[in-house]
Amino acid sequence: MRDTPAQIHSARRYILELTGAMVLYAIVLVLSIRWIGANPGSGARWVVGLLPMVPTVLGAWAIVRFFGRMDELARRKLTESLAFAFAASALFVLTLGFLQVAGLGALSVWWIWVGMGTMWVVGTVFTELRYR
Amino acid sequence: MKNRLRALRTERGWSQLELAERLGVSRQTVNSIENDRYDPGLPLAFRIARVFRMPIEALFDYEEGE
Repeated sequence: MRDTPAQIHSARRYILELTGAMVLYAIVLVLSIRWIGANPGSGARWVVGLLPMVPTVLGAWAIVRFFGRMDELARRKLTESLAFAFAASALFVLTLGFLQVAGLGALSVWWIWVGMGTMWVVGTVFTELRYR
Repeated sequence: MKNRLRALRTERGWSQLELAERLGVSRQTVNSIENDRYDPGLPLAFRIARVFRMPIEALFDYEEGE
């Protein structure tokens, strides 16, 4: 669907900022993993291990800036999709917790992020269909 | 909430994109309002009224219980 020049410009800026943050994240992540691998006993590994959080924060900042530039319908859709993702993720995490009580082995906390991201995508699809 | 946006827009020969530019919103917002999928907030409702030079009540049909 074609959109107004202002909306297109806003979306392009968002894509540029978020892509830049993600590229920086990938680079910093690889470098930090390599450095920790080469210096396993170093006290600095905790700081180096957290360095990927810097571009992660930049990515989050890009999302917040885009949210501020959105029109009211886009903001409502994003809010509804995040609310859905939060509720569905809570159910997902609780399910994992109960399964672990029943004997499921320990899972990496990364699975929580995978679950949240997946639920956000599902929520986004629902809201897009609802307001079409 | 029912509205008369589509009829009034086409009377003036405006596309959804042109109306969206006049209102400072996305084309999807205009489309959703026209299809009764979305009710605009107060500031946008006032902007719509200003663009069409009509009172809000002439643009939107509010029924008790909505």
